[in-house]
Amino acid sequence: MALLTLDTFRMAAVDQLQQYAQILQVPIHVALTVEDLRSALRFYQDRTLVLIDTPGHNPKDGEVLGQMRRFLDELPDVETHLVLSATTKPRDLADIAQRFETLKPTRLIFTKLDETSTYGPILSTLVRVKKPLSYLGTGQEVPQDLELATSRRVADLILPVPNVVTV
Amino acid sequence: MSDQASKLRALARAEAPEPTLFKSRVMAITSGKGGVGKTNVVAGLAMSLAISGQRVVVLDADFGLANIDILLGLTPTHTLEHVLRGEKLLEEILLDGPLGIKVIPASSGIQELTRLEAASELRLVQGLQRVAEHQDWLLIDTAAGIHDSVIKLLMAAQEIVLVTTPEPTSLVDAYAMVKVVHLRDPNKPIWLLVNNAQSETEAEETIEQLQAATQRFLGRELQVLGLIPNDPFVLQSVRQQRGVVEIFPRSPSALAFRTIADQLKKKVPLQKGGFTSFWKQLSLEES
Ligand SMILES: Nc1nc2c(ncn2[C@@H]2O[C@H](COP(=O)(O)OP(=O)(O)O)[C@@H](O)[C@H]2O)c(=O)[nH]1
Ligand SMILES: Nc1ncnc2c1ncn2[C@@H]1O[C@H](COP(=O)(O)OP(=O)(O)O)[C@@H](O)[C@H]1O
Ligand SMILES: [Mg+2]
Ligand SMILES: [Mg+2]
Repeated sequence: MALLTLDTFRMAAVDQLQQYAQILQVPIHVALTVEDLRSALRFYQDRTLVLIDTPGHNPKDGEVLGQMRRFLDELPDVETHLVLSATTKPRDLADIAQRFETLKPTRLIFTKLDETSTYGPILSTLVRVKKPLSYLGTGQEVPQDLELATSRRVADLILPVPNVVTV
Repeated sequence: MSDQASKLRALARAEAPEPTLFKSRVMAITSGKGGVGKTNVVAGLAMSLAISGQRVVVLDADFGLANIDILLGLTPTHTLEHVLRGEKLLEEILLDGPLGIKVIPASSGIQELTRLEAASELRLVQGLQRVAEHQDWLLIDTAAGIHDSVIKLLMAAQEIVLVTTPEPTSLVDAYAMVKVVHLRDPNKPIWLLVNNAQSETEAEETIEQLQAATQRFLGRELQVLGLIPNDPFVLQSVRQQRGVVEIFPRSPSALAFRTIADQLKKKVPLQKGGFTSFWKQLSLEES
């Protein structure tokens, strides 16, 4: 595995990822330009998994999004997952998902499920963008608060199974 | 320590019982005057350390006269220049030198290491960080002379090896170098290495003269690493583009390199995060 990051906007973000890389003993590479990213992907092409972190954006900042798109357009083989927070208002969610269409995400990740108890917006967003979920974030602990999203899990969130007393 | 990643840390630990802590020693090899044998010393020490089981990477930071690759008969297809431009990762330009040492080749005439734009510096720094993580020593072959960029590298390195020959000119320039470093940081360890000595007596005289000067004018005593004798095998190995330690292991200079490498191993402390602090220093020196 290898970690790449495009998030140089905040040095703290690099530091944070560097710490994770050190714990995991995996290499990390900060890419400043498309050229950097291409070099790194070429170098790490034999790795089973290369994870690329990106900076967070204000979805209304078209310029930054455009920059991001130029990065991703260079990398047709990269699978893009859009991370959304389950605590975002439904209308904003719809708006964000629509604006990020330009990055052609293939999957969604919802985080902060632990900070809300209304999960309807997750489903409606999925239906609207017609993309599957990949992971769910349920807390701040790494890695145990990230779980693989299954349809069963989402169904349970929307239509909770009444608590059955188990002995 | 408990934080967001404590579970992750525990998991990682279970997988690799002893995660290799990032420890390395960063030594800059320098001289006041040019042509005193720095590059040969770097190669000799690197190979001697390698023979005694150490992992060594050599950074060619003499961008004016980059030549350690030539000295060792290596043919780089890419150099630091490509790394600085983001076209290659540092790992991709690393050369496998003799006896398992790694060499980071430069190319003559590229921007000075310390006048890099921020993006280039980040590319170099993170590459060196990744590479040094698997090494015990980072030896830096610097340019000669008192230039800002050289001094900056010296101040950033953990310790300095100052190479001089017994020639009076070399000696005077060596003193000047000690003075500049001392004025910036009186605690920076400086190791004195006399190269190309005709005899032990000559080397001792050289050391005494320099010590007398630094003691008198700077109130400081240098640590003595030892001497490398004048040795015709050096020139022979240079001609063959091979390290003297490798092809003439019984030659006087090779034996001397082995002794000095053992000294280094004994006397230079391992620094945890030595490399990281090296770069922090380097950036700080900028201002
Ligand atoms: N409660 C909760 N906090 C989360 C979750 N995912 C992330 N966080 C926290 O949100 C903050 C920002 O996370 P980070 O990964 O840096 O987000 P980024 O800014 O999008 O890169 C951190 O404090 C995380 O611990 C989640 O699923 N639940
Ligand atoms: N101990 C020695 N005995 C004989 N010749 C030496 C010795 N050390 C260096 N030389 C010669 O001095 C020349 C300059 O050495 P080099 O390592 O390139 O110096 P620098 O890196 O300081 O410019 C080389 O041609 C080398 O053959
Ligand atoms: Mg982030
Ligand atoms: Mg040289």
